Amino acid sequence: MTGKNFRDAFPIMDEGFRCAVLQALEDIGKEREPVKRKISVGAVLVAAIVMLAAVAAAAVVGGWGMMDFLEGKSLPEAGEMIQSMEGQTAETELATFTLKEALYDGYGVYMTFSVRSKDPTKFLLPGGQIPGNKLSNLKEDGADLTIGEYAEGKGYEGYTYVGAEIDYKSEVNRGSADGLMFNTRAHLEEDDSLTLMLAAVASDLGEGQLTLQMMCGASDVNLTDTIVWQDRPSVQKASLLLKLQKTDTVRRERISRETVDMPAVGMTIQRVRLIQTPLTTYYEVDYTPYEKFVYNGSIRRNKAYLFGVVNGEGKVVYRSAVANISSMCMVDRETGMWRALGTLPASETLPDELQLRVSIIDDPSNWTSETVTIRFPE
Amino acid sequence: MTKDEFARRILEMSPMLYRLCYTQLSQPADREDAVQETVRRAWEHRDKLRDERYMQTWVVRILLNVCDTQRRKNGRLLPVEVLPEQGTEVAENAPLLEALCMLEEKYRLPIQLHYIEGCDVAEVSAMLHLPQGTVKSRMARGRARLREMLKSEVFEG
Repeated sequence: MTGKNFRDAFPIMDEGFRCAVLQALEDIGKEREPVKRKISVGAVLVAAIVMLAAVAAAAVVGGWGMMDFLEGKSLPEAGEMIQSMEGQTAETELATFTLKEALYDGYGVYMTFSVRSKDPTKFLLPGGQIPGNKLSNLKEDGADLTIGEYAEGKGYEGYTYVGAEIDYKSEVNRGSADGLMFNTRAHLEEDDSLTLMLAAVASDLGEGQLTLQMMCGASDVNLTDTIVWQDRPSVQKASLLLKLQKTDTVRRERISRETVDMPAVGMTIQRVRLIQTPLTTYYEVDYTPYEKFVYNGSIRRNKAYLFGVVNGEGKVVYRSAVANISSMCMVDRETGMWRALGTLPASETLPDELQLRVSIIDDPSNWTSETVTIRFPE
Repeated sequence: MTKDEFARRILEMSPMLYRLCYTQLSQPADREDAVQETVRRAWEHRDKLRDERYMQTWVVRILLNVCDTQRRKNGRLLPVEVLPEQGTEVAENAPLLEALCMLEEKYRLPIQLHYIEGCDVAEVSAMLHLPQGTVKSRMARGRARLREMLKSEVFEG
């Protein structure tokens, strides 16, 4: 192996990095001005402070709400905990984002946005979708049409990518939301507006109030451009500063007391905790990999642990009620303890035991899995 | 140094800066912030660079400091993994990069700078503020660890 072999192993410099260098060089004459990366000339940055009262109310903006996305996987009383956020908006020149609902319960953060295009000739595409995808990705009665066929059939002349995510560059989010990563789902409404639902789970989010700066973005689509929408230099961005009051949703907890070795995947499960709420049942797995060196401050990008709970039909619930656990493996630098957090459909009762499956993934085609029984004593 | 000359040198260095950011910071946004901050600091303090021949050493030093600050800002909890998307292409030499990223930083940086970026030991010593002997011993240990991980000789010849 030579230095060239290693150089070749690196990905080609991505467009975002190249743009960042060029932008910095462009800005060096403006020494008194702060450097702003990836904010295009046309970008709009709007900050709105949203104070959430703990008063629960139903959403009135219309269209899908959080309970619709949960598809019966939560208990009915969860609806009473979801807080209406009607009226808080973020504007770009291409789209308007209206926050509809939000919920923060110490383990998870959930919110829905209504997104409307400002250009009647442009069809809104949520980040991650392309016109060739099935329309059923966005609405249940999508038949066999593709998104592109549907948009063309309705006379749209082009597309606008839209999305919302945590603003990872914001100092506001440092410390308060380390490692918080949102999964986004989208629903196409009858008037072709979109409802986005963002859900994330994380440990140690803290007590009381959680402050998050969200970034809403919209970008005209160049369908030959393969870079993700957030990295487009032309993305128009608007931010929302959210102050979320914690809602106490926890009904009951159960904790396993025995460590369980999983030699096939090279780890020891230290404990599993089940946390019952009307919205979802969280499961928190503390574990120790045999090989400590797998974490050294840098992130390995093509190797991962994947946790799943095996359901009564023998199938693994990888993507459950509200979020995908696979992106939520965390490590505590101080204790060396690794933690994964996931969700299961909400239930009136917590089980006495569950089947936990762990897979270690060396590359997308090489998975090794092991399943163990985790027991929860009374 | 003129702005044009500064920009030319930075652009020449940018693949190297990218590779260094890649092994130092996990998030693309953090890497982009880091390189922007590095360029800004380098330009603002360019009068401190007495000999332009050492610009690369100086810029790398700034970048490593910025990356270090960025990592500390990111807090003690970090997302570790994001699953590869189905169908994600994996580079032929991906195991090499994986092994490199698994090395402790004290071994990885001297190896990366010397063998991969082509800096001589004196430059690496200046970049990392380490005696040359320490640089050499860390490279030797790092090579041994890479050899163990990859089951193959590394940087032979």
